[in-house]
Amino acid sequence: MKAVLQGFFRVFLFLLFFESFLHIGGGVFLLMQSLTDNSGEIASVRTVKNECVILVMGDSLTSGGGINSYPRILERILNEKGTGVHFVVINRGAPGRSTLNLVSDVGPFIEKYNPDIVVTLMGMVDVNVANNEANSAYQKLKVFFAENVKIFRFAKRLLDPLRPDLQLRTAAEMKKLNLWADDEDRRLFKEQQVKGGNAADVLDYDSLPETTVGSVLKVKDAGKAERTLEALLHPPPFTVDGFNDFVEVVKRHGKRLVIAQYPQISLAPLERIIKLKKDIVFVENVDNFRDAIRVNGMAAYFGDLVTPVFGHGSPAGNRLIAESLAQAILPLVVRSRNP
Amino acid sequence: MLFNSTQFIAFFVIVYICYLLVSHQWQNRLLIIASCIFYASWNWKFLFLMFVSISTDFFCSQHIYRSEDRAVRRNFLVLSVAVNLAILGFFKYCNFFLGNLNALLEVFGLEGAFQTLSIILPLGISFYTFEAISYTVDVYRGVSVPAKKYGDYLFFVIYFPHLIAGPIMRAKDFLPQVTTPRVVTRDLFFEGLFLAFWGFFEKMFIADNLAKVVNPVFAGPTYDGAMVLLAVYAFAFQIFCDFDGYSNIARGLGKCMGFNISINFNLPYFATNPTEFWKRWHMTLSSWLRDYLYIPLGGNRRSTLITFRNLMITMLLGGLWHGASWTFVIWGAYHGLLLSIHKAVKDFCPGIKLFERAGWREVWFLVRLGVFFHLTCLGWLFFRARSFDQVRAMLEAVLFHFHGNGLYPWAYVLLILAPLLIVQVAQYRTGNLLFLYRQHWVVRTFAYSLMAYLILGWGIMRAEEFIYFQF
Repeated sequence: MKAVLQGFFRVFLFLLFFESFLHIGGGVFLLMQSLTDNSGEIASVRTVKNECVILVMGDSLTSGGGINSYPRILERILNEKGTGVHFVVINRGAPGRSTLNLVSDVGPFIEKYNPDIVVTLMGMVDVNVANNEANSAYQKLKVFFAENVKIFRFAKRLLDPLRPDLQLRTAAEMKKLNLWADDEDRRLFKEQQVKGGNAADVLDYDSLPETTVGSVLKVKDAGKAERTLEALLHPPPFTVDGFNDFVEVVKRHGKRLVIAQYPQISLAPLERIIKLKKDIVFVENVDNFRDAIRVNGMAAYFGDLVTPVFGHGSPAGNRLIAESLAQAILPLVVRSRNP
Repeated sequence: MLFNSTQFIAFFVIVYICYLLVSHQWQNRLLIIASCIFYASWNWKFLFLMFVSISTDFFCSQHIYRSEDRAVRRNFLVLSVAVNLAILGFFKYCNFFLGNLNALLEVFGLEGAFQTLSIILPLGISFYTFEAISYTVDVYRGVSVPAKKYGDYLFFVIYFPHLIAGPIMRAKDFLPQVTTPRVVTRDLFFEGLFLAFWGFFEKMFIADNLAKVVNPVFAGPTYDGAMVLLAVYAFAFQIFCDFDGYSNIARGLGKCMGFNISINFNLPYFATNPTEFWKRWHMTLSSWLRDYLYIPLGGNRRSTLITFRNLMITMLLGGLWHGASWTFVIWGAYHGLLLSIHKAVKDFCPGIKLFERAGWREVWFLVRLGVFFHLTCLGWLFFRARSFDQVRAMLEAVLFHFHGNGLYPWAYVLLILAPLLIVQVAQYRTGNLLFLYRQHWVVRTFAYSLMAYLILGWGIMRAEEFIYFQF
């Protein structure tokens, strides 16, 4: 009996040590990163084809719009610039993904698509998660546990290679399948071809109706909209961890990171919560939207209102986001191609 | 199957469970089959090549043992050694030989006379042919009795932990363990597990992460002095951890099954002179070279000049054994030179009297350690480089283009090496290679947890492109 108890205690101690190493290791990693000089060019492996692959991750704001989602528009804008570089933008936004969801997705996606740049626009979903959890003391404890005990997330990440939807492909397979296609993708591609869309629309998971200038936008749930806005301006610990973990994963893979902010929301909260800001490009969407809305009104740019100041984008709204992203991305790429 | 792959772990778990359940006879059969599967997972066709070597040696050694006639015994010895060297020579050195022949003929204006063949280098060939030669020669010398059954000798060669790059075992050490039933005690099991764990740690955390520093630097084409220096230091430990790690895994797995596999490395970088170094580095190879090459040549029994000749020949061939390239030969020659100089000089340098006093002895030891470590590192530069041009370019960089990329690369390497160095210093001072295993259980739990974290978090978990060096 004593031996069994001793055994259990040893295992517990092992896990305790392991947990502290996870915390310390994160800090060490940040320290090492701050010593490197990573501000240089993007090292692309595709020098022969002169291609630049951009992986866009986010929630329904990213995925929505079909042919007019902002990643699709971004691709068109970038390729129309005539830089000589062929841009491929992969839209892996999906509705309902919180920052922590995206943290566990981004590693496998990077390995799957091997992008040069990772773009993300996330955070608004977190309020749903945090809200559900933080009501009772028990739930507060659960949240605390989930946010601070790293070992579970670590174990989950270790098991990522077993996820069937994120199976890695060899370089040859990726090339043969034109860089992005698993069965789901191929099915969507065929669907789009039948519908008459272009190949770039393949990966969209959502499609919003277009809105017309002049219609009135209503907030469905005023309280939730306010809470969402509040959560974006003062991110809860859940979101802080999500962003920092996301940054860590992307940096570990050596990819450049572009973090965009929701329309009409200041960058200040993001700049405050992210510890390792070095070499991250932040993209704000305040001035562009404010000026445009002054002329054409909110309904021209949003299909609904998730917060009092923005919602899912209309084609025009998504175009504004795409343009600000293009402006931030072009200097990163063009500079490295023309030394 | 690489040791650090999920297939191998699954394979080993299954084999081991079966091993514990069956009788001695069936254990041997099980392990033979498992080893065949292990080797076949790389390329089943070359299994036959190994059987050719094994069968020849078994057959020859039986005749050597039974015959009284000196000529007959010598003939079978020559046959066995010739077959093994022919196999090794063809598969490993054929293209090297043809390449050099072409280069030589080009001097005389005959271009491209011989075309190099596309020959696959069979896994483990350098190891099993050497083991085979040692077996036959030992039987000839009467040092060991040949295996009675073909299965026993087959087991000796093919046993999977040491088949690919494992310690080169001697028949008299290993065969008795094959033929007598083995006992797996709890202590033995946990010791073996520890050794294997430590081996995995060395390979997956230290060696693989050091490779991320070394490979970009040695890829060139331009070199920065400080980075070259760092890469050579890093490579010195990378190759050690790779090799020692593998040997530890082999020893650990063997121990779990009740086998005692020879130690291959005994804290080699604590050596302060070449002779000591070769008693600590790749011990099974250096003792093989000593017993089957150096001593037959005459060893140090004859004149000093002959001793130097023997040293140089042994080390040249030892270098060549590592790979079919002149850089390996030069590495061997370099060590031969170091050994010769040491032999010549050591009797004339009894040690400076000043450093005999207590406090100074440690300092003097560290000085000699540092100097010799750097001499070894220069050797590693030759060993790792692709060509002499590269060696020249890199040395030039160290001497004349020493800028540096800041502290980060050095901090990175130091952080990776820190756990290893701490443990090794402790091992050296206590004289116990199982030092970590003998500590208090809290210390051990801490250490195992740290090793697991480092392997999982910084080894397996895709810490690719962690370094972003700019040259």
